[in-house]
Amino acid sequence: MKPRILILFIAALAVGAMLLVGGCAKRQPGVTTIRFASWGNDVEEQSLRALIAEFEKRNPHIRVEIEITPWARMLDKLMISSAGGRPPDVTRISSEWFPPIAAKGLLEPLDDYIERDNYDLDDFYPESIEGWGVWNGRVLEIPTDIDIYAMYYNKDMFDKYKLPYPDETWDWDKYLEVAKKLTLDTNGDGVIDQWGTTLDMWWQDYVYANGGTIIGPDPATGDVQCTLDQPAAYNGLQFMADLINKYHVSPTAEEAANQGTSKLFTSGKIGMTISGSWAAELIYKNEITTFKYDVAPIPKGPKERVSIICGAAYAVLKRSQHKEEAWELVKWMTGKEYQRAAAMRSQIIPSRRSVAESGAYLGLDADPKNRQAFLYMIQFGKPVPPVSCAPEMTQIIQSELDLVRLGRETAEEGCKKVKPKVDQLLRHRD
Amino acid sequence: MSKVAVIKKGRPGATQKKMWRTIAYTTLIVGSAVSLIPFLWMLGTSFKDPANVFADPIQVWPNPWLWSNYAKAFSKLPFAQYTFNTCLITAISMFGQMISCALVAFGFARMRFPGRNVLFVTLLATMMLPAQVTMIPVFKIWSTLGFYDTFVPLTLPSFFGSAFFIFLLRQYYMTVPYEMDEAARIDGASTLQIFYKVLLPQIKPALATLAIFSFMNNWNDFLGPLIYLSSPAKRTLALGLYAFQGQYATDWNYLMAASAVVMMPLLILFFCGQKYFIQGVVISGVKG
Repeated sequence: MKPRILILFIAALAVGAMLLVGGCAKRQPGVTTIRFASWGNDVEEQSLRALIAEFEKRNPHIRVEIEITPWARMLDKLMISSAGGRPPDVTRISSEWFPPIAAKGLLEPLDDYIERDNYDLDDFYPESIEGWGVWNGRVLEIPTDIDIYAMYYNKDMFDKYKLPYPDETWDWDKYLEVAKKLTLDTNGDGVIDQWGTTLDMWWQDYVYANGGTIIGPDPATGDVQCTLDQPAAYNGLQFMADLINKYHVSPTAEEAANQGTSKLFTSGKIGMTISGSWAAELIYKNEITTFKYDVAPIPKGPKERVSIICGAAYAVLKRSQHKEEAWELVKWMTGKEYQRAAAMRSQIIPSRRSVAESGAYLGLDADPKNRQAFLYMIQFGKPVPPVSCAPEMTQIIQSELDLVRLGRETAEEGCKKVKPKVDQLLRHRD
Repeated sequence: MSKVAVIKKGRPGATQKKMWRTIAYTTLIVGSAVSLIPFLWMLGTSFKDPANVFADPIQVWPNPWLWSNYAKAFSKLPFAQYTFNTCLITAISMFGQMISCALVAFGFARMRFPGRNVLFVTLLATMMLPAQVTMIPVFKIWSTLGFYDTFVPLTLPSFFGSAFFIFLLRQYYMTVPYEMDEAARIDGASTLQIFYKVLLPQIKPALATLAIFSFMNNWNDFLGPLIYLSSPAKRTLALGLYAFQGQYATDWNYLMAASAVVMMPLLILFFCGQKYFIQGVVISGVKG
């Protein structure tokens, strides 16, 4: 009988040990523990912990448990834990997740709290509040950082060909003209090896810049439908594809395949690139070593100057049992101390105008020098379309537009093909 | 064990045999080279400078060769803690699955009781249910029981068997002659004694197979730790690897260096236990 008893004993011991580990959470009288979920790399996590420690010091009756989840899987975790009835009390939310989360009704409306505490929402860029703070007329999140796009350019390359640096007077014509001048076969082997520009990671901006829209109300029924089949929309997208296939001022997918366009820019083979405010800190700081660079506003399209605007926000979960404490934390995490720290640590653009325009951001001693261009672009920011199926919709359109970028079909053909698919998705969204 | 199958008709001459062999080996070498590329690519990237990860033309041999990627990758995250957590979860689950599955499979293979076949088919049916379907209800159960952010949801279920492993062991039990049980019973052994004194030693190869599969599943499990664990101190290796992947940028060289190390135990285990692993696939006809 001995082995069996031994086996059972070990099993019981193992299970018991685990129960013990799980069971002993610290409980202090008069102290409320709230759970706070965020993402972040090691640097961000350290800074987050320091800020939370400061919050706990100022609010001794609140203890914060920090849950850090990888960015790539944070939405999954939030959705599963909400469906399973155990979401955190406060969470950081990326702007692209906002429509699906808000549509599911997972977030606590904050209007009453804001009014009661006289919270200074006026200090925030309205583009951020409207972009990923308000849903159906109610404030569900307080935005905290802004990711905005602008045009980075290789100063040395402009100097070499004696071209003027880009500025806010540029439009698509001027942009194309300069891009053509910078597109060259520098070593004379008959193959282009330097390009004027490159496509950015979005396609929505070309639609908006040309006066088009992605979705809009059906004039007959008032339902939301895909409007990419309108000339204003697809002509904007055609300009995007023409940069590669007609004017050849942007490398083709094949030419960029092995390196990625970002790498072509950082290795000095591309003159201009529209990229995010995050790129300076996350990519260019380490990768650009051989030339000087700066940023300028994105050239104005035929109708509008446009940047895609993204960012993050803090929100209180509707299922939270400690909403007051959670709101206190949201206020702290969207406060000036937090935003100043984030800007100085990793050049993140604060959503509070007062902090963004202070020395904490504008006065940073780092490239790009003309960071004012980012703040200037905020007023032209266009967020993710506010429909719950936005992530799926973007995916469907994106894969069709890949064919347009490759020159296999025109933007008009692609948009007309994609419209019925998007309409169907919109009809069946929850 | 595994010899190249050579198709022969009649009595082939030495040259013909040699030719067949050449063709077979060439095919095998090319095939294994192709399937090794992703792994070698990972190893290569783990030594590269970030600027060369996507270099054009493709850089096969890292230049410069950076051993420091490994040191940096490991200093960025508390890998000792993650390794300890992963080992603990894997060891407990492996142990749990071995004892529970061996016992249940023994019942299905050797005991005769009404409804046995219905029960067995029901058990197999649970294999058809994708984990995603039961994920939310199961999460709800564990969090209601107060086991959120503990290792319990990741380990305790293994003490209640797993359909695939029970199936695998049952098939193996069936190959052991029933006369052995009868002989033991005549000698006065109880049913449980037959189980652990007579049959358990006989199915050791199958248990080894189970151990390897179980180790692999638990070691690589990402979704479980993702949804059940929240404190940084409880993270597992699979979860920790994701930290290198950010919203806008990924540290490919560090990610690959860390992945290479995390993969090492699996690789070693596979080399040592290859025989059992392949046997498991053959017996059950199912890939784990």
